[in-house]
Amino acid sequence: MTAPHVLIVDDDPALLAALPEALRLRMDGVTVDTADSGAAALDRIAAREYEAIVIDIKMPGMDGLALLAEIR
Amino acid sequence: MSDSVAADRQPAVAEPGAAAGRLRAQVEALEHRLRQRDAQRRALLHILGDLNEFNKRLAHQRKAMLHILADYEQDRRRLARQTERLDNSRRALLHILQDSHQDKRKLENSRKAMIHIMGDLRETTAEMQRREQELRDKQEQLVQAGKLATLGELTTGVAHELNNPLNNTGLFVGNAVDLLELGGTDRGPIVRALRQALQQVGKATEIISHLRTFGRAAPVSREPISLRQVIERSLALMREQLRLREIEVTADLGPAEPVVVGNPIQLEQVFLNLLTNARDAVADAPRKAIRISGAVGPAAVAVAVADTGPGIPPGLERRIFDPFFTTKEVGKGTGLGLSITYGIVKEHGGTISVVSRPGEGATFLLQLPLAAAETNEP
Repeated sequence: MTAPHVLIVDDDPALLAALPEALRLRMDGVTVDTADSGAAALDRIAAREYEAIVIDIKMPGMDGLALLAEIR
Repeated sequence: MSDSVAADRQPAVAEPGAAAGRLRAQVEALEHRLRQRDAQRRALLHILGDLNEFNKRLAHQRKAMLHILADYEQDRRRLARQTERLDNSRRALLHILQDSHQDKRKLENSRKAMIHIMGDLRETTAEMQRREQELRDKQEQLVQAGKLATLGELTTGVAHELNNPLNNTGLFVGNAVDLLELGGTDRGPIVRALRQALQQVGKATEIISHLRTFGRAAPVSREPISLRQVIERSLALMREQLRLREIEVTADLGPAEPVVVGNPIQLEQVFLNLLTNARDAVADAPRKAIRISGAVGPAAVAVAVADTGPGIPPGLERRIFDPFFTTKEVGKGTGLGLSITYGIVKEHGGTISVVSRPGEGATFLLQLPLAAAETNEP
């Protein structure tokens, strides 16, 4: 299995600093990308495939559920 | 005497020589008597003259007496008149005294009545003061209730706001622990993670302490406060909610630093209520924006809170400040926010009004006296 790619979508910059580090420390070889909005997330998803995407539901602009619908 | 003359004549006849002597003697005696009589007559005449004189004097005196009597009579009459006048005066005085006594009694009655009235007035005043105190207590309770309602409104947004820093703290601390357990020799990442955790704790503490200050039923103290700070603190409490709802907020207070005398918590509540209303008003609007602007005058500061919502239906501009009046759906609003806001603003010597044209949003205009202007007044 190649190194998994994970995308984290959240509007809180502190979380975007903490969570990727936590994942990297606990999961060997994981690559974590971040996006601070639904729109930015869609750009990332268009660029490559992710094994997992973690989305915050409450976000300004496109919220998590809208983003999920968009991805599907 | 005639007997003695007759006796003398007898011898004169008898003896003419002797008789002549006797006659001579008799003549002498007669002359002597005549002289005597003459003297007596003269004396009598004198006496008569004296008497006449005396009589005249008496008549004079009688006349004088009559004059005196007339005078006396006049005096007596005058005296009688005076006495009568005096008597009249006395009677008049007595009347006056009686009247004055009556007046005094009337005055005394009036005074008593006055005292009664004043007593009543005092009682009424005391009653009024009691009622006023009651009203003030009720208002304070209402303010507290309104504060709790505002607090309830805020809770949803605040829960989210608190959840994030707590979550982040957990993550940063977890990272630090992991780094330590992995036995890395580089302390840099560990310290960085812990510092970030501290930052997040600070953020959560700030939110909590602010909520606690706001919710506390603190005595309503007055102090000079910066209105800018009040507005910024209210915005800080609302920011997360407004951001999540994509409501664009601008606050332009200009370069001035208006200071008002008041209670910071109460004034914060005014802006929280206005912001909450604006937030709800723009919920379904095509453009969601709240604009706070301020202008400082010589004696007062004016602040406008404008939204891009549907505005207030015509005819309701007055009623929206009434207690329990709400245009929000059942369960959405208490109808207390604006009435409490109105009460607080009035208590601070200010005014609040609303300007709204349907479709153009509502603008709440707030005026508060400046601290400097308030202290300059005599």
